[in-house]
Amino acid sequence: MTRNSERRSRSRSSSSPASRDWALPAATLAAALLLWEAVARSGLYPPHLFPPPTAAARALKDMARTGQLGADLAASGRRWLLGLLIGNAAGVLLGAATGAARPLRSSVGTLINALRTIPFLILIPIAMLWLGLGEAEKVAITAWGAAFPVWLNTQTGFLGVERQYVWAAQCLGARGARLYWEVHLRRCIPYIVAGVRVSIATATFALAAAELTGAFEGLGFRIFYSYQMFQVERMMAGIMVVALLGLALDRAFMAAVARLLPWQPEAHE
Amino acid sequence: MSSPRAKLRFRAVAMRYDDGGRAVQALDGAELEVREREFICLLGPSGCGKSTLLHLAAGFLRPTAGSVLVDGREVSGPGTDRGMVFQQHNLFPWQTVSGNVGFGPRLKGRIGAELDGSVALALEEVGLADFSEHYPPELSIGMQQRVGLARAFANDPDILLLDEPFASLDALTRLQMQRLLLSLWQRRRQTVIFVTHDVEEALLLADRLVLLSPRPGRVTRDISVPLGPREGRPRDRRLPELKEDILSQLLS
Repeated sequence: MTRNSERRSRSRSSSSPASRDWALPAATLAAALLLWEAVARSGLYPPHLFPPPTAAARALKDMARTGQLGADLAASGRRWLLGLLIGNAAGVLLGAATGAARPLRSSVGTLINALRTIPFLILIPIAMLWLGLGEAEKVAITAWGAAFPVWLNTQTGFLGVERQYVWAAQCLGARGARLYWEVHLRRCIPYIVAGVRVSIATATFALAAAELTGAFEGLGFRIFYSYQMFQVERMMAGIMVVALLGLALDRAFMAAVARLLPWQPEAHE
Repeated sequence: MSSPRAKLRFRAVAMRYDDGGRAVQALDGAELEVREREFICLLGPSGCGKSTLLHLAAGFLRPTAGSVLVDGREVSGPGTDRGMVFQQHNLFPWQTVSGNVGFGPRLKGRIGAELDGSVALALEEVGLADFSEHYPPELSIGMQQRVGLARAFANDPDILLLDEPFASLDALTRLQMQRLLLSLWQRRRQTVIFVTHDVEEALLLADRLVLLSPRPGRVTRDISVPLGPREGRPRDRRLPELKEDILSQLLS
């Protein structure tokens, strides 16, 4: 038998060109905007309550021109990134610990499980009392929101490590911390990736909630402030920016995963 | 009956485990001795505890009674002196072929050119030099098993434990793999326990066949393969008759 016939075809090389991967998502977004525009212009709802996307885009242009959008993006981006990094790191460490050791799962794991159902809105007053009305409080809330999906996924991954991988590694001389590093953590990477992907959104939810109070810039603050000022176009513009940013970040993250982890089939959808 | 040169010894080994609340007696009073550089095949009906014996030898499991001895010392856990090849799905999917093969040498502290050289040599020997940067899922099952063999041999164990390594291969690939295994083994003649349910495979490979009874498994027969050197065995006239004989014992 030749090597070539023995070799399974590599399903990884995608059959469709890259442009087609973008065509349907872009068309869907365009269709949604068109529908929104059509409904807004139909007169079904008063335009000051339901402005069309073109009006929101004009408001956005205005916000960009005055530098307000840039300042909001910078403020939220800083809080989001810092919170995401801290929360994800904590999530992986805690998940590895509770996944590896049953006593920790029963003690620390139970505690985390109890805490993770507390809504962000209820935590915010506590965070404000303890951390003050500054950046630390907002980063902490964001980190809190980012930590749980990663914690849970990492723990699930650790618990599901197949024993034949562990056995194979043990026969080859891996034990103790080295075994966890070489096998458990590597095997968990698809789970961690999925957790981080979820946390990109949950960190955003948490940050938006944190920016409702005690903030003077940031996308969450801007959306809520515009609502209070009855500037519905600006509110819609802010929402559009958040949604598109979320989409772009998810795409960028998955592209990075596909590049960095070529063995991970989940990254190649 | 115990010879001082026993490399691996099972002494009155019993193994009971819990299978979802049901106690399963996998082995009961299993006695077996494998001499240094001997190649034995374990045969038996499925569920007879063949794999359990192998896992005990590897140190993955501890017997409920009796003991497993390597060089006269009781096995207390897995070690690099005993290499293992599994049926399949045992390669690390997060590492390339060369990452898998170099896993053991790397843990032993080999780095750089020395590591690369030993990995390249091991891959050369199994005919996979061109596939070093592929990931296991990109390879056929046959190629994956070659990587499994290369990984075990690259770590240079004294004892090789093979758990039905060729069971999921097609007939032709299986023949190629049997030849490959023998050619790798003949350089150093490690002590081998090879679990299989294929009588012909056992007769082609082993010095000795060990037959296990249905659960709870114990050794029922111990047969020295009365065939000549391995190269001539596929054409040996006694092969079909021996195969029939052993099959009928397994089925009785």
